[in-house]
Amino acid sequence: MDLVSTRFEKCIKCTICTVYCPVAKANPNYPGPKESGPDGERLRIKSPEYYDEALKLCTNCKRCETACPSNVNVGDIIAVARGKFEKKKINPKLMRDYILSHTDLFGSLSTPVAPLVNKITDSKIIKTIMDKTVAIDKHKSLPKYSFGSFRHWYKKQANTQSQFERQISYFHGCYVNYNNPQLGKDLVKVLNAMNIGVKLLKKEKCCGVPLIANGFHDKARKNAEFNVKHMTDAVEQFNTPILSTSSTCSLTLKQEYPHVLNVDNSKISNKLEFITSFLLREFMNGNMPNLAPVNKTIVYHTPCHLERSGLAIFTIELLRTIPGLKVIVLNSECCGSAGTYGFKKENYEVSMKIGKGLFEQIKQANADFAITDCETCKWQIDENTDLETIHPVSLLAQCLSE
Amino acid sequence: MKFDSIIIGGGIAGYTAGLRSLEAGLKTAIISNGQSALHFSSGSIDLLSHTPTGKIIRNPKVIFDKFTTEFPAHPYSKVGKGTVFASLKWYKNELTNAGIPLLQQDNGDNHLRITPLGTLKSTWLSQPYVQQLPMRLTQHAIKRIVVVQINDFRDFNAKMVTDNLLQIPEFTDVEISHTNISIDGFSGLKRNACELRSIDIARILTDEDEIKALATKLTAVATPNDLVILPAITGNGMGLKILNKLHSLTHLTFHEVPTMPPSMLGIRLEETMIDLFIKRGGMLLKGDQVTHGDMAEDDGHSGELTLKRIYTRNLETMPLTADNYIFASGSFFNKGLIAHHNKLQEPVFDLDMNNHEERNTWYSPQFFADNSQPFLSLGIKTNHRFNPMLKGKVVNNLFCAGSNLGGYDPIAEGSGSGVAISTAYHAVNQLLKNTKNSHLQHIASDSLA
Amino acid sequence: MGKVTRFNSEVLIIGGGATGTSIMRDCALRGITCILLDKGDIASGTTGRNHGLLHSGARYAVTDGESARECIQENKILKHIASHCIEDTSGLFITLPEDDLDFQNTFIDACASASIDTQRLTPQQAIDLEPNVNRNLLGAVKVPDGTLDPFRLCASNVLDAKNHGAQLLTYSMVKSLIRIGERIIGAKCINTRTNEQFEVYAQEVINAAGIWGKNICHYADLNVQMLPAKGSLLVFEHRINDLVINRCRKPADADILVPGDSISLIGTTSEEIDYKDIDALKTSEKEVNILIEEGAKLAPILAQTRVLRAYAGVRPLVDVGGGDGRNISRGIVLLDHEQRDGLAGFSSILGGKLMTSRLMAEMTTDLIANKLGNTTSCSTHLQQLPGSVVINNSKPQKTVFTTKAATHRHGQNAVATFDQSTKGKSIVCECEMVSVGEIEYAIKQLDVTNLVDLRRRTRLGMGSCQGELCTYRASSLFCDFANCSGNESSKLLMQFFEERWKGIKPVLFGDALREAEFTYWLYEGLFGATDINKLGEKQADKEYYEI
Repeated sequence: MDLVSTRFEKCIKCTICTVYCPVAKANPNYPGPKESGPDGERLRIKSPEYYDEALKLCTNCKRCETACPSNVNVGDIIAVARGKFEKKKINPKLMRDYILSHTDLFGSLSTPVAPLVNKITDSKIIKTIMDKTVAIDKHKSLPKYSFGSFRHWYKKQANTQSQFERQISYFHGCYVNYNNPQLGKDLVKVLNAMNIGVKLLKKEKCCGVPLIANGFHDKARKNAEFNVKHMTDAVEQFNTPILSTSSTCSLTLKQEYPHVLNVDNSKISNKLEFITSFLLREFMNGNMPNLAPVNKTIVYHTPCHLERSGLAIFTIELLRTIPGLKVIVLNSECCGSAGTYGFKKENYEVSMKIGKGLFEQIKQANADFAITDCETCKWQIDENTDLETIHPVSLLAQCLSE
Repeated sequence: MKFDSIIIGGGIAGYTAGLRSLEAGLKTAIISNGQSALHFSSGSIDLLSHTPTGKIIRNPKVIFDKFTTEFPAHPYSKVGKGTVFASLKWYKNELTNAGIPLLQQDNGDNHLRITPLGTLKSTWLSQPYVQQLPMRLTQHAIKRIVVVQINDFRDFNAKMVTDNLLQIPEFTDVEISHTNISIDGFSGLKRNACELRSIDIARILTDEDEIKALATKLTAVATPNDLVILPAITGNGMGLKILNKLHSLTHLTFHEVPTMPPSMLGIRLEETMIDLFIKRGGMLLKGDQVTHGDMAEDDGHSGELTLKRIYTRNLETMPLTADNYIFASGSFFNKGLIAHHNKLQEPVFDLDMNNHEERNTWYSPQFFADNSQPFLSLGIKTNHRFNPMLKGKVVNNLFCAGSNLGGYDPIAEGSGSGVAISTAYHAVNQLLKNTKNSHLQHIASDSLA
Repeated sequence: MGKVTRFNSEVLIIGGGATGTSIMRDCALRGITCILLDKGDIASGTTGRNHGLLHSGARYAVTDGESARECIQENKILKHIASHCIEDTSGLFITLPEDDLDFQNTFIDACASASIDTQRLTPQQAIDLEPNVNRNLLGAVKVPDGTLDPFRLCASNVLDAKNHGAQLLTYSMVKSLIRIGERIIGAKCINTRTNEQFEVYAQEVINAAGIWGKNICHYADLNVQMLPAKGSLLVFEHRINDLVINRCRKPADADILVPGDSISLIGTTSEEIDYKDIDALKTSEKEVNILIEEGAKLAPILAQTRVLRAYAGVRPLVDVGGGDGRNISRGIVLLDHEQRDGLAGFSSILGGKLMTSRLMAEMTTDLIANKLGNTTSCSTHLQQLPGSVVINNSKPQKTVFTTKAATHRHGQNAVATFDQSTKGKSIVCECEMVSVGEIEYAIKQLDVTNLVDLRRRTRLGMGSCQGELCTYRASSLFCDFANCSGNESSKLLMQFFEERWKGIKPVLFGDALREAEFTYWLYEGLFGATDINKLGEKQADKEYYEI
């Protein structure tokens, strides 16, 4: 019994987590975080017979943890239990889960032939086929691959970047690398404008969050150990902070590695920082680039994992430094995407139901565009509202002035 | 990161302080470690039902001065009559304007609410569908009570309510019965419908057809002359709207009663306050916990301390600073106070407590003791301005509010929400007086009723 | 002056603990009619307040070889007849740095002499088997210890006995024995719930009342010296060990950590108390500290584990000679009062332990059967108890958790009779997975009269929340299944919390205090439970605060 398990004993059975669980709200058939997490774990210790397959309905949004007055890591307890007990049936859904979660493999295969892959996955016929065979819901558009990865682009910049006196290390993650290198380029632009150069880790693998969510805990652990090794090397060599632009990668590297995968990241944990936290601190210390006024109204959506990390305050305050920008902070609720969860046919309806409230809020707000720090939230909002959604760093990059 | 006012704790005291701070134009942050005890509250505001010695209070305002003389150390006595009633008036208006009307007896008396067990408890402000029985109970005008059992709902039992109400002498002439009603939406669920909590039923009842079906069933079992006791099963942000709809469809008089957790009535208060706080530009740090703070000797006031900055678990290296802080961290449930083997402690700053005695003095021999449980009155020791002390030294820019305060028993007295609201309101007043900003000081003196 | 009800049977057994219920079963299986009385519920005495340890006997091997041999024999029998009451966890006897490692050899040899299988383990092997064991251990010996649920055992004994014609009367207190000349012919009793008096007539009266047996003997003007020694134990919120952990040294305080169903418990202390205090047991702060300190030596994680409650039991120690307290026996003491004291129709079976209850019953029933002229031999060691009978040994089907849990508690046969509807399977106690159907079964078939009895039969309220969520729900079910009025069930609710409170008070710190505050807020602040006893008071008659 490891340390995570014993944390469930603090649960005093108040039921608050169930009130705030977006899945329980949308899907009355989900037993809820209390039963799946602390109640369930206590019984699973007695006998593994008490593992409930319904735990796979959990999106790992961690809103239960944010709401818990007893500091029980309900989401972690569920994730660890799933890793231990969830049975993988050999069927097309397993293949789908494999494809959706092994982002490095499919990312590196696809980026060299991105235009073709994108055309295929966009085709209505293919979508219908995927829907019927591997149960990827046909309403969902699979993320587009970039023609050429971020790392590939960066190789040409490496030299220039190393000229800066101050340096940071950038954990780019799969989204920037395979889907949207522009965000990475935006980051480099912003940091350079602050006289900071960007390094990449020598090597990097997917943070592992889709692997955890889809039950490939062993692979996730291998990725984690790999990443910790390279981050440790970077810190030992350069003593730089390690920044991430993805709110989920950030949470995973810092919290999920020790709590769910039992991977020790203590040597570099205090070097890990989410980008808006770093940027705001820099701005407050006087290192703020010139920003041209942006006379627009934006709505800010708090990603579930960012809320859990407690770092939304940095993004919000950062946005408030942009001159002329009207910032409407939306009532924090889950978008329903939950990473790979929302792509799956069996989850699609619930995913839409979860996000309905948010889409409604956005509709009512009459903003020019939406800002959020999480890529899957971005895809969800793009797909289901009329608003374009961009990352706060991309907004900063756009309004940099000389 | 700097704020004008930082509030530690997101419960009824914390949000009261937060909303008042925003009203005064202060840049305000609330740090909340999980949702609050409002989730199991009656959704009514308990001002003062009993004295600390167990005597019943009919009208809190009328006896207030006598109370202050007899119990000078009670938080109400320190806050003062003017502020207590101003704060409740303010709270009532805020919630009413936000869509949750809070009603009271015209003459300022307490009123009795029928509890989920069929007993009577007095309170001061209640939500619209909570039937208010007069303190002089023989003057009630009820002829018939119908208690509704939702079939298969395990968290509310109508028969228990009925049989207990039948024992109440003042209801001898009232016809009291219970009846069963089914919620259509229970069938067709894969999950066992008998395991649904009040919040789950509330989600089913957001559907128009479900509401209409329920209305039809209710009309079949009661008439507009009856008092219909219904468990609180509407919510999801629309609790009162749905009750309004049910009322307009049935013309029945409802008495909404909280169930086993969670309480939809209590949730209504919390979600409304959070909503207001965020809409008005407050910064809410959810699910975060203050780990410690830096105190320093106050150069201006010798022998006193000021709180310089606080650190939270999520913000780690980035402390939060404010000129003044309000400490509304709650009681044992919320971990605002913790009980070690033989010591009670306030875990954030290790402030002085009002009790140093051994564990066996913390509890009564009986669970349902007539004189309640001693641990409920244990808490942080404060001066007349609600400043706490650290090893005897006053922390003059930290103001305590709510259930982390020692010196009162929220359950025995029926004063929990009243103390929370009034001490939080008072704390903001103190904070405004304490601020170096003269403009804000001006606002403070205006707001003192 | 009403007519007093009379009951008749061949045998009257006083005391419904492990011994009494085992005798009830043994008699019934031999075709001897019997009535069992207990002043409270079954297993509410010492039987319900011990470690729940299925001894291998290893603990007694060095100091009391005969006891050890009895234990291991009964261990094997119980594993066969009461499998649903038992978890065959094995046990470890660990040697810590401050213990004498040489003692291990003495221990192993003594076990061998008593035919107790042992296996010497290296520290690493012990840690692999039991990750939470103290990693500083120098060595360990594995033994066939297990855990035994005493409530389940007693309930099963009673069920089997009733199936064979026996009768149980709980909450029935003996006020005096009915004597004619030099013969006891029955007892005068009172139903403590209804205050109704009644009489039971029997050819043989058996005193199986444990530590209370002294009182029963007094009613016959007989003196038996008993030395009540109190022992306290702590229950933890969840299982922290899978094997029983003992110290490999002479027995002392707080050196057995026993897993059991969803929890672990640590025991025990030893404190002599006055006889008059046997019904008012309290666990002191000192005892709580000892239990945690010493317990943490077995499994360090214990010191940080949430404690749910404390409880205390009284060892039924009998002074077999001299009355000076020197010859205290934990062994079996069977007194044939006809032989010993010239008083026929009366015997006492005292001392002993949970492990040997079946054996004690066999010895007693042999004696009684002989007196009655019944020649059927004992079969309690051969026949399985109702809950242990497995009808369907195929691969476990997908059943809901409440059915799984209920099957472990009551066996397949019983569970098959439960209400199989959605409501019947629905969860009432979320911590321990107790369903409506199980509660109905317990109320209607298992002599459950209140929530405290219900807890013993089903584990309701024994989990993390100690009844916070389930008490209300369960009490309302007494309206459905026990014909209680809403007011009566409200009082049952309050009674249950008072009972739980006794165990929570001694450990009211940390999460126990949080849970208690929460529960009190709910049931008093929100529900106004205290007023249940004052409903009949007029508002106008109450005391008001006026100026």
